[in-house]
Amino acid sequence: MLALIVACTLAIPSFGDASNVKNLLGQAAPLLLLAIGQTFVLLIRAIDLTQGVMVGVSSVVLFVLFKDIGPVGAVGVVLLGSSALGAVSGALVAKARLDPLIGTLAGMYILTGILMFRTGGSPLTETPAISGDFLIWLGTSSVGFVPVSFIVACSLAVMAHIYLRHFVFGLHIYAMGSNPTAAIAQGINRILVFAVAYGICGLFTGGAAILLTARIHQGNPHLGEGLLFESIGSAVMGGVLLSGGIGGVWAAVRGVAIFALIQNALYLTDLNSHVRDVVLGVMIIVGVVIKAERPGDSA
Amino acid sequence: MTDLIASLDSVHFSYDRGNEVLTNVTLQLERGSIYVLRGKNGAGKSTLVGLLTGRLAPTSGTVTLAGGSAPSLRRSRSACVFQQLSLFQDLTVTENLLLAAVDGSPWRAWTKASARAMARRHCGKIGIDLPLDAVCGSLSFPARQKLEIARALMRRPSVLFLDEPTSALDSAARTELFGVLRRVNANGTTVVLVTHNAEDVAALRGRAIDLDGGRVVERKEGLPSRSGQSEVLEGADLKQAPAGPSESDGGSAMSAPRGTVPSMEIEIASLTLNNTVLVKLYPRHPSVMIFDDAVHRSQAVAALHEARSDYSVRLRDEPGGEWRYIRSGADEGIRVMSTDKEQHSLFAAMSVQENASLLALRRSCTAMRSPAEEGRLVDRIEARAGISWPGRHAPVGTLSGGNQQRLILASLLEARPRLLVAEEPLMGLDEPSHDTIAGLLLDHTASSRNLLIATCFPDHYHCLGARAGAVMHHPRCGPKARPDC
Repeated sequence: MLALIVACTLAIPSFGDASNVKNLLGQAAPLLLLAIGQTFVLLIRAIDLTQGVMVGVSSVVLFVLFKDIGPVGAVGVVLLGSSALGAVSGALVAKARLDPLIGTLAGMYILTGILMFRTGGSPLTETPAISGDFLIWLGTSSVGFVPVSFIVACSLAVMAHIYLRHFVFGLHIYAMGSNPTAAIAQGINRILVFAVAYGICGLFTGGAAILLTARIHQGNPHLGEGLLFESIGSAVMGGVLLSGGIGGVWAAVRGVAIFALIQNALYLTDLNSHVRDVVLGVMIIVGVVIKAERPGDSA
Repeated sequence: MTDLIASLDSVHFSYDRGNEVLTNVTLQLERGSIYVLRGKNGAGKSTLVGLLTGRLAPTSGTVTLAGGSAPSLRRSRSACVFQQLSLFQDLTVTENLLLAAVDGSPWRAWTKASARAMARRHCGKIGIDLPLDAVCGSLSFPARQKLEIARALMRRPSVLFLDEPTSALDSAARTELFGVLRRVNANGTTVVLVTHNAEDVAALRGRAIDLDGGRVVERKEGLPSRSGQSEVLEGADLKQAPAGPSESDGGSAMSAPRGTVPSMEIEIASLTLNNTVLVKLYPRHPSVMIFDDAVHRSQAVAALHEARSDYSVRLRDEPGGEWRYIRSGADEGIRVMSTDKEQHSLFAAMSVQENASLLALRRSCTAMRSPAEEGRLVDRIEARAGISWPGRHAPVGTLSGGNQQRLILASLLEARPRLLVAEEPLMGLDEPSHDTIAGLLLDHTASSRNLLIATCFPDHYHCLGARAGAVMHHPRCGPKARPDC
């Protein structure tokens, strides 16, 4: 990664500018939360395809609730609601023994339908002044050149790491992904593990939606489009295995760092946007191949 | 010049950050022979097989297989049957065999009928009886093991490696397997068998390679046959076993203790065999559930820790008490040690400490993990079970099979289960491991906890003072004595 930073700095003069670093960290913060949330689900040998649409739902709900209950209440409701929705979908997948891919694909379509029906697909932009102030502060303030949103994301990442590595439930998550049969034989509750992993994924998705909404100052139902694959790609590139049981928060952090660096560097070049996509895809493959050859440091 | 299929020259091997598993191994294997690789648990037998198959690379030294240096498995035309099976669980037996047959030629066309005919022909040729239309995941562990061997033979290998293939097979299945191996060898295939079982060594009449402390000593023709396993069980080290009721008491070695009330009763009903047995468990006395064949033994044990559509299990806490059906043995304080440890007990990618913690510590899932508590647990298990491991943070998959068995049992006993169900716990072990496992089981029953052993070889468990709790017959087999059922 250090080599990547040095290469980008040498190749692109504006890459090391304070304004670009601030921009890079601000862009990376929501993706970091999404990748960490997805990591919890990938670790139990599952996947959450509702992440993208959940960002859109949370963004719209947040904007609507600002008007009625203010920023603290709105943020609380969004976080509680997204984690509850995640927990319910996880419990359903486990209880009905659905394939997580199919179960969450169905959830994605249901949520997308409801969201587009309720909003008509149009963004919301008008908010009361007090709520607008809060969003502007969260989306634009910084400590030095480090955005507040990045500090928030890093704090949550540390908490997620502690939970995963130092709590019994974290061990249950790894056990469920490593060998589900043995985990159930040891009395680990599959439904509970799925509900909590998906619930945490929902919580982090809600958090990411709040940061994104604050960044663009808009309640946008299309806000999460494309983010689902960025979160899965980042986690896998960092060392989280789709087959479960291997990886962790630091792997997600590493993956997001690489992904955000490459994305940012490509935006600073004069490349055509479609060419940028091609280069980004190639870089993801290279990153995953390099990671697969060095599987030992995937915590 | 001798035709060699494998040659190791001054080979050393160690896993990441671990101790040296193999030290200065020099060895030559001749084509067309049968080799029997022996050694204590942790002696490095599986590692040596890994090197001979090209699955592992030596830390130093040279490995040459069939004329080339460290060739791939495919190039050397060797096939392996490992302790950890590599079957496709969701495919049928025929499809599993078909995949082995078309290995390397994916464009070859098959119809369902021709695939089935091919599978039937292959199984008939090698003398292995398998339900060709059954889904692999629905088979018992011994049946899956037979399928793995059939798959390996499908490629007509010049060398066949088998890493403890008999550990979960009953005597009939084992005899069947050895017949297959002798036929295969007669056709020119070199066979390398890793085993603990003295009877296996004698039955194959191969050339012994003894591993001791990571060093290899090759013997010449003829293997000294160890005494039978039942004699070993009755040896001096096991005399501390609680004495069973004597004949003068009116009981036999396999009868229930007189005047004792069962502390728990379990009823296991096989819906496919239309057979129900009642197992009575007595405090301080291990009970044995006897099976005619390994297939139904594995299925019944599996039914004790997970809901199965072909079995129903219910229990009551005292005679005359109320029966209740159980869906998960874990919810009732029942812990199971199955012969299929990779599938039912181990988390291969996780560390020794994490495995011990999961198996032994009963904690609320909201609790914080305590490194100190987990460290003390691993220390206790290490001391109690005499396990040697490369490090407590090493992946459990790097432990030898015997050490994995000790770790599982010692960890399960740390959880103080109300009932421990052990499937053939003394099978396929060398003498030190056998004595350690037997000692752990005796400690468990001495603390008034229930122990149920599922076995096809009840004589092997006299050393534990075990008594028959139930006998489960396959309908095709003749009735056996059914003490106290």
